[in-house]
Amino acid sequence: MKPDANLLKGNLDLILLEILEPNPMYGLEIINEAQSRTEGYFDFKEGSLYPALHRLEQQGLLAAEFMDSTTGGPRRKYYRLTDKGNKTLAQKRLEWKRFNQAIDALRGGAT
Amino acid sequence: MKPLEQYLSQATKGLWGRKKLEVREELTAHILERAHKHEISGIPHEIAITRAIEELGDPKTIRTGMIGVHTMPNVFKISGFLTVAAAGAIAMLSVSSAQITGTTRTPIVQCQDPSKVTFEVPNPNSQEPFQVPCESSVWLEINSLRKTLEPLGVKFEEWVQADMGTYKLMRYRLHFPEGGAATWQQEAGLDYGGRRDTDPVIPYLPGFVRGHTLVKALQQLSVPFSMSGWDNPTLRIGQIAFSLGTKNAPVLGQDWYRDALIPSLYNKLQELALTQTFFDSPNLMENLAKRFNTSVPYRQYKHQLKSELPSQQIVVVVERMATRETSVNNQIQVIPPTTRAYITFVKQDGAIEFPSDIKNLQFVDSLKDIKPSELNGAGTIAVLKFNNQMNLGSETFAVIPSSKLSK
Repeated sequence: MKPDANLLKGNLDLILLEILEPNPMYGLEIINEAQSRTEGYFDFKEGSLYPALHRLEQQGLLAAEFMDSTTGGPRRKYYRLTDKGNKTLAQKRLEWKRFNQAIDALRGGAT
Repeated sequence: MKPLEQYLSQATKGLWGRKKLEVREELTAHILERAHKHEISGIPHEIAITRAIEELGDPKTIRTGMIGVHTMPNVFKISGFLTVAAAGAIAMLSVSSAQITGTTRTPIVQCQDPSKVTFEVPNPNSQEPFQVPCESSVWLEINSLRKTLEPLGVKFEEWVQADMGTYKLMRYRLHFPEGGAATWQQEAGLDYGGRRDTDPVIPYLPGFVRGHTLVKALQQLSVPFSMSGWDNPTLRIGQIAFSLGTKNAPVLGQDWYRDALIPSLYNKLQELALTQTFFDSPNLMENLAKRFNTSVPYRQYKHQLKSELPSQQIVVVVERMATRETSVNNQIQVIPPTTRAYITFVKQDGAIEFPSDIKNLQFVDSLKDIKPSELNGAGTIAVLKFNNQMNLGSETFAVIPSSKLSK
């Protein structure tokens, strides 16, 4: 089962920051990583990914640099978390945790 | 036109200059790598390219998204930058002044040719140099700073705090003859990417330090610290003093003072309780027009007021715009109500010049009397006078009585 499109869209920032936390990655690598780590659950619309990455870069949550391709192709643009991005990720994780706790509480299965 | 070129053209339509090239390069790399994987599985090259393009999706999705990020809010982005840059400068201007007993020396270089829009700085990670905008003279060359300070008895230390290949974290420390040290760290080697206007976490140029970073570092010292003068202003740090800039590479004090005003001005304008506030620098329009080689689709009327104010007096023209629609790349964009603050300086003859979308202006004596104006219609403005006392958090602005202004 795929996630609801609105749910994915509403949490895109959190997802991208999570994926990029361990290592800098370029666009296609991010898509592959998302699919691989979630066993295909997160399947981005590729065309929406790049504007989202640029927006996060502009907000100072990501920094980016072009680097030569390891396979001899055109340069790739690698994105990585900035300090601000790390702080935002921590904050979003907390929000997400609280949200889940609240949902659990509503279901009667409070943690 | 080949499918790849056609796709890239559609996906980047409406973007300008370097940003357009960057997006093209990023998408090209994506498509070719995707296509290469299809080719490995036996699909012919042309079909592989077409399939990779299809997988990337409708170019309009990318185009719309990128335009939303990179073009529409240009004015707002610049205001965001100014607000961030202000933090250091306002603090700097708040400290008490010290008597100059040391030698005043010069040069801190930034834009070698002020007539240019950008100047180039070598990029260690790329053959393409960094393009640094000239319009704000707050980038200081570290080597020049070092050459200036060392003869004044300041010991300069520089080392790599963290080295992760193309990404480096540099640390600098200045030891002053009166004791105490000022330390800052900054990233080096990041692709600058034109984000100076937009990025609250401003990526640093190798070999350059932003003015407010230096100022924050100098605040760590216990000695008095102040700034004075308009063009090539003087920094006084305890017993030493030096000027920023040279005749050929000037540092404009107005950039620093303008930045210094913004936090308190912003607070002042919050009284108007509108959704957005723009702060335009005096040369914003010219720079945008030069950079994008086009005329900007707003501020079509240029106004000139007469006043009896002294030249170089800082004034702020405040106007409010009602909700309106504008067309960008054939798409209708709704602009929410805005308060615009245009910071400028009184000219030699007491004239105050500023651009506006309002054709027929009427002065008011209170901020609360400024009514939202429709595009091209009649409207009201207030002109604020800054008290020129740059003390932290206590800058005051007074509305200039309408009786003291004329068209």
